[in-house]
Amino acid sequence: MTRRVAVTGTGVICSIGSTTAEFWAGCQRGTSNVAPIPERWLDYADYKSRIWSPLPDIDYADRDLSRIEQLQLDPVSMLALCASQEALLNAGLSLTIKDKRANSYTIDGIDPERAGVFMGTGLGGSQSFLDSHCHLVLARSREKLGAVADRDDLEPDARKTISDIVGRMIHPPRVHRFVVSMTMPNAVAAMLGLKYTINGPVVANCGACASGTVAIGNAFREVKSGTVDVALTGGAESFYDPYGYHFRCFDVAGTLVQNWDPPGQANRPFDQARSGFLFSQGGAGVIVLEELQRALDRGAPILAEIVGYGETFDAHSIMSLDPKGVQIERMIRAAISEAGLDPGDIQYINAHGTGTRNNDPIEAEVLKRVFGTAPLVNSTKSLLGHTIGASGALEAIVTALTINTGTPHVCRNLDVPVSDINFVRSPRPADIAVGFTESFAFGGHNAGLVLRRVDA
Amino acid sequence: MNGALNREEIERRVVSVACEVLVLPEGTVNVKVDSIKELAEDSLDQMRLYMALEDEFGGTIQEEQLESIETFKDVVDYIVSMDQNSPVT
Repeated sequence: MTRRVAVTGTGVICSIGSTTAEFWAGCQRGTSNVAPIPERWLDYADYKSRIWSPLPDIDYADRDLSRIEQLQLDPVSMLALCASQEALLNAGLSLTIKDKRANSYTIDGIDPERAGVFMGTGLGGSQSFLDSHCHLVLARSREKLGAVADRDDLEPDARKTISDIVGRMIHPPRVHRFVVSMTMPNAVAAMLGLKYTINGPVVANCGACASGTVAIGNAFREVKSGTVDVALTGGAESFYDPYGYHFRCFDVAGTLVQNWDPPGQANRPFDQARSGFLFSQGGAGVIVLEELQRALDRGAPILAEIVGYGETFDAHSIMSLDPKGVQIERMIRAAISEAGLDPGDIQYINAHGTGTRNNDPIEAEVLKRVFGTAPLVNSTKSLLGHTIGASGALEAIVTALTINTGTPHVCRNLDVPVSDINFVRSPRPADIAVGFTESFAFGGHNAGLVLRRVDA
Repeated sequence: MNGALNREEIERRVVSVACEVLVLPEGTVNVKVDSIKELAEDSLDQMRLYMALEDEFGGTIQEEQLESIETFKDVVDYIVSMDQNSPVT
């Protein structure tokens, strides 16, 4: 008998909300959080883009992360841990403390050997890597330069120049004792496995902007095949650093949104006037997947089920989509085929929708070629900006919630669309039984998930 | 490490950090006699303890010093000496 895979819980931290409820309320309002980049970053470069989408302040202690855990973890793992605990609790699962020193739990009613973790991230703990690297490179030079600035025989202009340089040589007080375990991309998945005592497969998926979707697709396959009964899956990313280094990396690649007045209208996926994607500080989206009958037996809340997954690779360019979208189309058709559906059954599409000049028309063309103009289409990146490794997971959560509530969010700032496909341009209820979400990535990765209402 | 701390204050804060990291009830750490290796179960617990102490006192316990630290008294002695000698971090 074919095993079915239910979505029973979600957890979210992103620029418009630090819980699923806040996030979804923000989506319904068409909210976006757009701010000038931190002023300190302007000391280091002349950026082409000057806006980003920062995360809200997060009280990690209030999210069950001890001070010692906070000292020992990269923010990307902390974001994933916060979202995962919310997802487990929203799934109606309860936790029992296992080890007070480690602040770890067991999940009540779950066989640890029948559970897995599948988490995507683009760069993993890159902030920790950068911090410790800066200490190693700068600390001794900064101390020596600081001593020069203190000399009495310096001209005032020279003293000020040297003092300014010293002030910009930001670094933490030491190479962190745990930097290896903070930096490695698999730390995100491993921390979830440690926190919740999971002994099945614990897997990191690094597929840049498609990481979250690939992770959920792999989790879906493992629950469906019977390798595990329960999976924690999704994606996380954290791109803050004191210099604006992460921001600058995307800025020099020419991918970021250009300035616009007012800034809140700069991020324009699928609009003729789009200029790039809005850089997000990051976030996390985590989903609890369970074998459907198991979820039904325990009376779990069921938002939707995942019924198909497709994954292909362009083999075209490390940074650009194949303009013909051949492998995107093959990915879409593979996912729909696994679901046992036809393209005409898809009523809602959560597009990749970055807002870059190159990507949006290619994506719109492929969607029109496969689906025609009937399905509703939106871009969650029009609200959040681009959270890279978290984006696919956050968008899968939006797809599940859209099916569950029948209220697709608007595609924000869409005034003159690049295509006549059916973009959601104003809030309107819609009876949606089947939805599709897709992600593309630097490298050439394409991945997509088909979700369906359980009673459909 | 951050100047002008008396030994009693350093001892109190070392005990507080040890209880936090090792999840021990207050009053179970005798700063004058207890061995770190007996209370910290493994090397990772010891690393966490040193990490938290560095955060608490704002300096760095040099790697070469770690080998000579066996008791909480050794830690306190080290912090007192660093406090007096303005450490290079």
